[in-house]
Amino acid sequence: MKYLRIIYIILKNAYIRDSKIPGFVTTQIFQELFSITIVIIFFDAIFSNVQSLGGWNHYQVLFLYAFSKFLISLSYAFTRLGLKDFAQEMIKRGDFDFYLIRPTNPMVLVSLSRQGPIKITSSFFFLVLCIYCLINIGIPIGSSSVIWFLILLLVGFILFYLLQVITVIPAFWLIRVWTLPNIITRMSELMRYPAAIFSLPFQIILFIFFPILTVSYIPAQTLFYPPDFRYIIYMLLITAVFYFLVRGLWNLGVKNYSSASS
Amino acid sequence: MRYNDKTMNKYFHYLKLNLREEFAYKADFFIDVAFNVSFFLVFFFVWKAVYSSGNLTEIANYSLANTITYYFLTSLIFRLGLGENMYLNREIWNGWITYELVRPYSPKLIYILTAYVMSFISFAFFIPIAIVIIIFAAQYLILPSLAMFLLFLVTILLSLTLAISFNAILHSLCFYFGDQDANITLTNYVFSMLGGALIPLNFLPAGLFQVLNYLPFKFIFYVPINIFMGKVPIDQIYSSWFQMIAWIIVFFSLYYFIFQNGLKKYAAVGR
Repeated sequence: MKYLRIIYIILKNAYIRDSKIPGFVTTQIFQELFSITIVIIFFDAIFSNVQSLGGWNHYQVLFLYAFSKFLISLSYAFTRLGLKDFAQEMIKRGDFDFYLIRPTNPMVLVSLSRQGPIKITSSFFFLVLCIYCLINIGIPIGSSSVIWFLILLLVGFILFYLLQVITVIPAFWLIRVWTLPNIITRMSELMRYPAAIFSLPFQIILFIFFPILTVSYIPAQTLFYPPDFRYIIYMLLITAVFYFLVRGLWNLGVKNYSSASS
Repeated sequence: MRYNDKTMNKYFHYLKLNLREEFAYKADFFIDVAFNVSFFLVFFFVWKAVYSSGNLTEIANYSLANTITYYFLTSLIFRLGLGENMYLNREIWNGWITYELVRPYSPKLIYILTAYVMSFISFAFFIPIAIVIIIFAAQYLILPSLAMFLLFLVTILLSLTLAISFNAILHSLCFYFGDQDANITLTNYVFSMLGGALIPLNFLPAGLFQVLNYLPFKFIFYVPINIFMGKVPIDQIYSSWFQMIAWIIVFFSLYYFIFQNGLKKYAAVGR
């Protein structure tokens, strides 16, 4: 409840700030709509030549793309900008002190410290695209698949958040590296396509060592096909592993943090 | 003559300082470039899967090697920055341009030169990554003859100039309408997409391809890459250069006019 209240206050302030910047809201919305159009044209071009990609049909692939972008937009709306500030400014200037002394989890508070409310609109556009794909997908979807998909969506969002955090944790040691927040942006380009298109070594990396494919592919697969409990258990396990890994590394980083002028 | 030497020295020193500043953050730059490889990797795997699952030898006159080479060069052109390496908007908005106005060089020129320097640095940092990509995807990449490579280099220099001149206009609009950051990002995004950054233009529906063929966006990605792959006859290459130079003259003239008049509105404390 405390965190929901924090989210609400920061979101409200962020919206007031964003709407003051001339043209910001309009250009963001236009850019998202334009990018969705380009993506639809891109997949049309692909599927005018083939029936399936990585074993998935046109609307399944488009769904996976839209679903990934939905998760990415949500992360931009709530946690990405705060983590970006953390990596680029907070440690360098010592502003992280203020988050350490507050009566909440500093990692969560830092993540929620700056939000991009306009990205909620983007996630809404991608949600609409997801629904459009599901209407046209042409395969029956069972109710148990839907329930498991919703559970895994939540788990996927948590895992994606943990992956975002793990890419910025080096900021505790590498103070002058500004591009850390871009790592997750680049890596998230890999989660938008069916896993089968990647070669085996890449699949191993993207499912186990940096499980960005797990975030989107397993929930989507669970929705389209009868739930495979091996994948579901794996996703829950890898999320738990990353939770403890991130927590451990974060605590290690905090111990290394020496306040202002780190 | 002596005056010209001094003038050149000023700009040379300015560029040298810019270079030093950028090279101070090598690790930063290298991480950024290294993870940019993901763009190439995604399209490498996607198109490899498309050609193999459809048993295709060609799509719109492009073999798999053509398509992979296309995306390799797209990631290279993205590294050049396409005019994103310009700070004019930010400096007008914050009022920092005032410092440049009192210095003994042309502020109009200095932001253009900085954009070039940044682009060349980005390109230099891309070279080791390009080598990794070439080793990784050697069998899928088409390398040009020396003559074609030189023609490509000239074209890419013109493309960069075209992008910088167009961005210079967008940035200088800050004098009139305030912060242009959102508009610059949006325009560059549209510019890139319609120029063939995400998909080769000839893969698009015929009607859309015809429309985009009349616009200057194609000169940023589609035309240089096709020259690299030897798909453009020499007379068409010269014709493209002529059109690009014409657009560059138009854009730089507009930039000069907008900047000069904008300065009259500028109150030296930001916008």
